[in-house]
Amino acid sequence: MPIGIAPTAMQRMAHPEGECANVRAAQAIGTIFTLSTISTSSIEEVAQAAPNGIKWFQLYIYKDRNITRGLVERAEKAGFKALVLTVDAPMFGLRLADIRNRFTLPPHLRLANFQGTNSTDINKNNEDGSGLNSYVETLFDASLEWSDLQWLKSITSLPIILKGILTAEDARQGVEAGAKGIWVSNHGARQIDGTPASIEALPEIVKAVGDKVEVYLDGGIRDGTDVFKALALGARMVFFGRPALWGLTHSGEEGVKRILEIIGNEFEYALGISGCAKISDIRPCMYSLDDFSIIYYFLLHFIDIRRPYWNAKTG
Amino acid sequence: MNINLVCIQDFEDHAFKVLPRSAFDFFRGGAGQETTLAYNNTAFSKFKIRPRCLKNVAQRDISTTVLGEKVSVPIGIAPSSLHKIAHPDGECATARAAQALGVLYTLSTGATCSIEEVAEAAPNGLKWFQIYVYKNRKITEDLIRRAEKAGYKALVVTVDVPVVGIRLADIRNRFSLPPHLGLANFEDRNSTDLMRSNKDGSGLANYVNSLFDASLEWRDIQWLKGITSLPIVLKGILTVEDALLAVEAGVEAVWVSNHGGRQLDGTPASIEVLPEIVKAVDGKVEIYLDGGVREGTDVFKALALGARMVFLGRPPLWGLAHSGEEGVEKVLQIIMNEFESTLGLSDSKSDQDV
Repeated sequence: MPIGIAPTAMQRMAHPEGECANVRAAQAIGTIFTLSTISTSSIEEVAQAAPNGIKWFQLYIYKDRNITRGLVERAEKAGFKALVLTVDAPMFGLRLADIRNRFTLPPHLRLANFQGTNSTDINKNNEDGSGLNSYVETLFDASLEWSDLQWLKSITSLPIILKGILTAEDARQGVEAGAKGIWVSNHGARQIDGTPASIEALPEIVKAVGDKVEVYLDGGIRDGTDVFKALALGARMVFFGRPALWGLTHSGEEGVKRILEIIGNEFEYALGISGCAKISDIRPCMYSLDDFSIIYYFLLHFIDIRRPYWNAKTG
Repeated sequence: MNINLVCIQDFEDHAFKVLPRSAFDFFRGGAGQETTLAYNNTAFSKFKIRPRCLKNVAQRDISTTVLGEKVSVPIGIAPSSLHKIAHPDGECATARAAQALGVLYTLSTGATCSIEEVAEAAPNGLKWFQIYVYKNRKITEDLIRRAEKAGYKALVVTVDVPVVGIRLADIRNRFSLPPHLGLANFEDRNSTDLMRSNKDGSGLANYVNSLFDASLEWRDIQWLKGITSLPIVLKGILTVEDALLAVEAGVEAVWVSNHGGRQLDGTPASIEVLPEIVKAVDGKVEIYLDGGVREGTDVFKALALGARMVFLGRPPLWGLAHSGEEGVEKVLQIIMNEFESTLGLSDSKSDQDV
């Protein structure tokens, strides 16, 4: 189904089996699981947990390029099928709750893709607020530029997807730089407050690059109808982050499976009731925007016009 | 410093708990039904930030210049009166906090610390003086001389108060100057007493409506220009027409403002009218904005829409109410940090990139 699991960090906070449970659920349902660089289960553990599932690896580029190189090599070796490079996080956003809570990773957990301090520094209780933000500030490379994408391309044969794109300009630049997919996202609204919603940004990006690469979306997907709308607007696939975590919290692998089943079912109903037997039946004419609806229904009342998109085939 | 005050709203919530009711209402209140007061802030949500990625934002610089003077950030302190109601150190504490962070400070005519006291408290900070034009022109002239002598670098002429707005909370509270405080820029007890006379409601209204010159016209700006060499900023402009008249009048800057929603309820939000004013003025003078700025993203949006600087009115007061100079510093640091984060995440390196 066109609904995948977005990369979210430190999933063993939600359930003891963390990312391994999550990926097993994705494998059972037959959908894509994206593993975060800052996960609490390693690349190898996750690959072993779900050898037959489609797995993508989300990458942060660290100041120390050898770290990144190492991660990429391991992901390739473990059978991950694509690299998802996060481009909207030169630093992490100001998350007030994390600051108030002085968020750190619980002491029994570590960032499993790393050895030594890189795996445990995030446990350090930080006076200024969020331990996560301090970790990121120290290790992530905020000087990242478009030319670094060329470097990444040179060290891997895996397709590179750019996650965190919100403008047509960046989408175009990404495609020009050789990205194989554009993942429209505002990082679950965790970076800057006040950006457009992902679904708002989607149309201009599809228009700019949809004919050249696949376009994905995450952000606010909570219902099968959200999936339908994103696809009608041109996304190839949607992802969700938090819902999988709520499933994990409930009952690990079973919980995530249940979440995927629920939204998959809702999506199937949305398909059928709007007159589609399969995904390719979804046409752009099958959505309308609020403003237009108001004018349209006003007109309908006074003027007899045949609604063109009742007939799905003319879409 | 209590780490649990992590945003400006936290400071306002705290001030609500610690300030006497009439004091909090005086600072917080707006005119009429306060629709513009609320809208000043919510209007920022109409504008969305379109972030750009992969722009190398490791080295970020949020400093800028205003009327040729360097400041550490395009955020300044707007003029607000009676700071000693919030904290015993009053405007001196506010000015010291601004100086410590390299932030522009605007002193109000209606301050509870004098021009000279504030200059002494923060000799190295960049300071502007906000002026009202009194019926008695000599009062205004004297204030200007003193400001010039004390090293203030510009005059901010408030043009949206021919009479004071109808602030219902002040009327209900019969707001007046507490007895131990005085308008520090005036020795004349009569004028201060007017502030205390609140039989009909707001002592402030009584004071303003008796003394300020409601007959002020554009040619009076020419008079002002004639008596000072300091650059003049007109504060309280909300229309393209007035912005163009300001440019014609030869002032150095236009400060878009609806006086924090305290004058006329039902005006547009400052951020709403900013774009058309920026367009009309076409770079001829600097444009500033105040009204509803509460977060770094608000600052970013105003700059993206063409403002050179934004100013904060109420937030520093909440900082004062919390802990004087330290509180104001904390408030400024919060919004400066938020602004820097916004800059980096939308991938601009400096204010010029916005």
